[in-house]
Amino acid sequence: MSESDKSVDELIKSEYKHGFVTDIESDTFEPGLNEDVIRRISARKNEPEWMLEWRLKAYDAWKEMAEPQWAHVKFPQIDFDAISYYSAPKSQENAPKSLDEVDPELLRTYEKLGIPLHERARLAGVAVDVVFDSVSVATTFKDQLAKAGVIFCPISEAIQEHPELVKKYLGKVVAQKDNYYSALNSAVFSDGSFVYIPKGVRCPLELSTYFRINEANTGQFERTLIIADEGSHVSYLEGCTAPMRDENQLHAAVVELVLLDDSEIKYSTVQNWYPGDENGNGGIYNFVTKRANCIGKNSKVSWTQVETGSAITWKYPSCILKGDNSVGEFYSVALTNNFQQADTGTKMIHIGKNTKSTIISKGISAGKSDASYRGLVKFGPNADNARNYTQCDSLLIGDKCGAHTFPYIESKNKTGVIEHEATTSKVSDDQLFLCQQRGMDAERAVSMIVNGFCKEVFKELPMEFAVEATKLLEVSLEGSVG
Amino acid sequence: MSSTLTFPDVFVNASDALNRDSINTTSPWLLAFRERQLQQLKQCSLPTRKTEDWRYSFRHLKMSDAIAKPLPILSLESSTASSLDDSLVDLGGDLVVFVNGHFAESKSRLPSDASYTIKRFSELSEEEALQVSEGSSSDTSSFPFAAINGACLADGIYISIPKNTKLEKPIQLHFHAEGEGTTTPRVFLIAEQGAEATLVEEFTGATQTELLTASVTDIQLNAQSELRYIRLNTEAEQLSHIGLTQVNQNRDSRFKSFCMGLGGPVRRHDLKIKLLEPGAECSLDGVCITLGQQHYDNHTEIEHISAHCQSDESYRCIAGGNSHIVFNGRIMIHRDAQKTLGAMSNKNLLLTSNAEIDSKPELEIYADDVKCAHGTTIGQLDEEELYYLVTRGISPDHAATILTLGFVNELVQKIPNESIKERTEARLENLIKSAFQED
Repeated sequence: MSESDKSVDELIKSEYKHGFVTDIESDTFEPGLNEDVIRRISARKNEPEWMLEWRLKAYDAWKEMAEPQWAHVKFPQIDFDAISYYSAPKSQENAPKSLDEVDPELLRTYEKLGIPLHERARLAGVAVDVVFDSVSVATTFKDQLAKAGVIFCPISEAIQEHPELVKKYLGKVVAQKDNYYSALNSAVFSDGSFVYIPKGVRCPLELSTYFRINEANTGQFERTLIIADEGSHVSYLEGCTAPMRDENQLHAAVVELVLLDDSEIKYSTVQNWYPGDENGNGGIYNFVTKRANCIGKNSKVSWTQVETGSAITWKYPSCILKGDNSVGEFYSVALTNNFQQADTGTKMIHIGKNTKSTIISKGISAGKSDASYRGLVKFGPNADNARNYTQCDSLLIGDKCGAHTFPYIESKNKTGVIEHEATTSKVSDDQLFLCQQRGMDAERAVSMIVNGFCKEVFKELPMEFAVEATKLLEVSLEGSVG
Repeated sequence: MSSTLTFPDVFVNASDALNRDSINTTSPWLLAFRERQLQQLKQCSLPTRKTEDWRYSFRHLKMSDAIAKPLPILSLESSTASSLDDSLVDLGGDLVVFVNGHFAESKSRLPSDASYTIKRFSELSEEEALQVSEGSSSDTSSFPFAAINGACLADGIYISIPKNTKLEKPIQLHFHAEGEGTTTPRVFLIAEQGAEATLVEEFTGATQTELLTASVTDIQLNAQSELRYIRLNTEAEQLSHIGLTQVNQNRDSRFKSFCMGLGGPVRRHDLKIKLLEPGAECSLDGVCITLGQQHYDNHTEIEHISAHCQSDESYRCIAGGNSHIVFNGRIMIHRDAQKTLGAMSNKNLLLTSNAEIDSKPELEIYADDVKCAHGTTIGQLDEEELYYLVTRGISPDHAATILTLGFVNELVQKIPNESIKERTEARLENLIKSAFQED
């Protein structure tokens, strides 16, 4: 094992590839949070009065709330007054109309990240709404989308241009007071994406947003709202990387999905934020509230996530299956290494008749990390013939990590069927031995086994993402053979 | 009946009163024991919605101040005697009967030879007393009822099985309770190296007002010993039972439990196992059925502290009427517990849409070379199986009864005592029948 141990060490020590700070002048608020800061954020964005009131209401609620303590994660108390709540690249005044006008420094950043924006946009047919820190700077393929009637824009723009839609749905899936971090987000959210797919439209492109956290000490608070009108279909991709720094950063996003009759949303995430160094210093705190509300009949929502980054992940993409025959799916791979901690899972709340949900969760822990699955499956009294299948498997690599499962299963309907399975094991010595016997090094063998372990989830990812996810997993995992 | 309980003050007062009344008749170690538990009790608060361990059962804790007093002393010749006789099924082995917390000598049958020790707490030698005080550490922060038991403890049972002693007949403990107040059954069992025994605990009783049974059982299994533990709850309506069983297992010891919950409005049983040394094994089986407004909460916690241990757990629950069943199983594997095998299965049958079943099978794992799995299902009887039986001329109600009984029978058949097995089967059948008639 000494051979592989050595390569383990080497690879574990491999530094975060995407760690660098882009030197762009930013317009950043001084740290601290009070009513005045919220008024200033709102004013900076030229928001209408109702939006400001909405934010202030959330702030009032947040002041009364306490941080949740139940998750299986440990971190030092966050000083919310040490965070700056607004940061925007200065060049925002004259927002670029095409990629050519985008700050070349920015473009280089994406190149360093391995995301050739224009190429990706044209060749892969993906429209990218780039959120650089908090303000959207470039949106591509707007015309093509506009032709289909799809609205895909920064949420700050939607507040100006489509207030009726925003007013109707914002905060209706994730209430302002839903939890501590959603209240904070509601008060100070800077920007995010807004998507509206009109009746009967199948979105011609896969919509994609790349988030980038840049300014040190800036909390990033995106707000995403996707509305799928009757009979529409959309696939939305979200992926993230962040520069290297020492101080922990707070990230508290809220994502709301609204599904009307017969609509479908597929939401895929690859998350690779800075996880902290090998000693557990730094890294992003990722406290996200994601929820879909299947209001309409026969609607379908599918969450797919590959989580490899962040020092702490606190994330439970959920489905409220309100409409009859609606379907909720959750596919997740959560990988933790070094001192990372992840407490992630989903909630499937069955309210309507004949609702179905599937949960496939794969947790991989290496190093000294902790990965937990925490999920809720709830059948209400009216959820006749509801069905749930849950499978959560954990893989342990090394004897200093932890893998935990905390499922909550609640049924109030006698016609419902719930199945839950969970297993925990390590990469089998036999499998490893067999691969090595055939000339494969331990690294590649583990990588292959882990890939096989995650296959059920990867096959749900859109093509480009699946490739990226596989690579990500390799980089994050390689050498963790123990 | 008012539904407020001034906690823990009323129980603290009850404990003080108990100490006043019995200061001259109680042995000094028991007074000291009570005092320690009382100090813990003072720190306790009643579980609320926010108490994770009680998130599903806190709402069933409806008690008033009247409950915080010892039960009246019953004369064994009065009418209670008949209800006790009805519920008491003699298994032919050694028998200890407690009525309302007091030892009923005339009903009990203590061993004629000295093959093992079984005594009341009031008769313990210094050395034995020390074993009890040291072996009874309860974490009362999440389980305040153990502190109530300790602080209000009048008497308990001490059992010690010497080295390599194999007891053929079961040790039967019967706790009967009636009237208004709180009863605190407490058992301490230690099995020395290579000892083997079967322990049967049965709780019966009835009340017209309010009655709380707060029971605690501490079991210490030394190397290579084996204990089969059968626990029967067959209490009637109105009576709440909140019990804790703690087991510490040493090298190569085996513990097999069979917990049968067959009635009563509020039942909660916490079964906590610690596998302290390599080679220890435990298997936990449980069956429970609730009807009407009943509530049953099964909590199990298996801590794998040492390597090469094995645990196997299987619980089957049936909820009918407006009842509520909870299963919360937890397997925790510590960092050094390599080569652990752990399996947990919980299957539930929901008979009506007014009933509720909540299941929370948890795994907390810090060692990598382990195989651990759990499975949970909540569902109903298979339509096709029902149809098959009905086409054979069996009435739908009867067919459902047969299938439901079949669902739990696999576990009932494992009970290592014929008499209890038959009785459990019969009782289950009656309860299941009435469940389908309710509809």
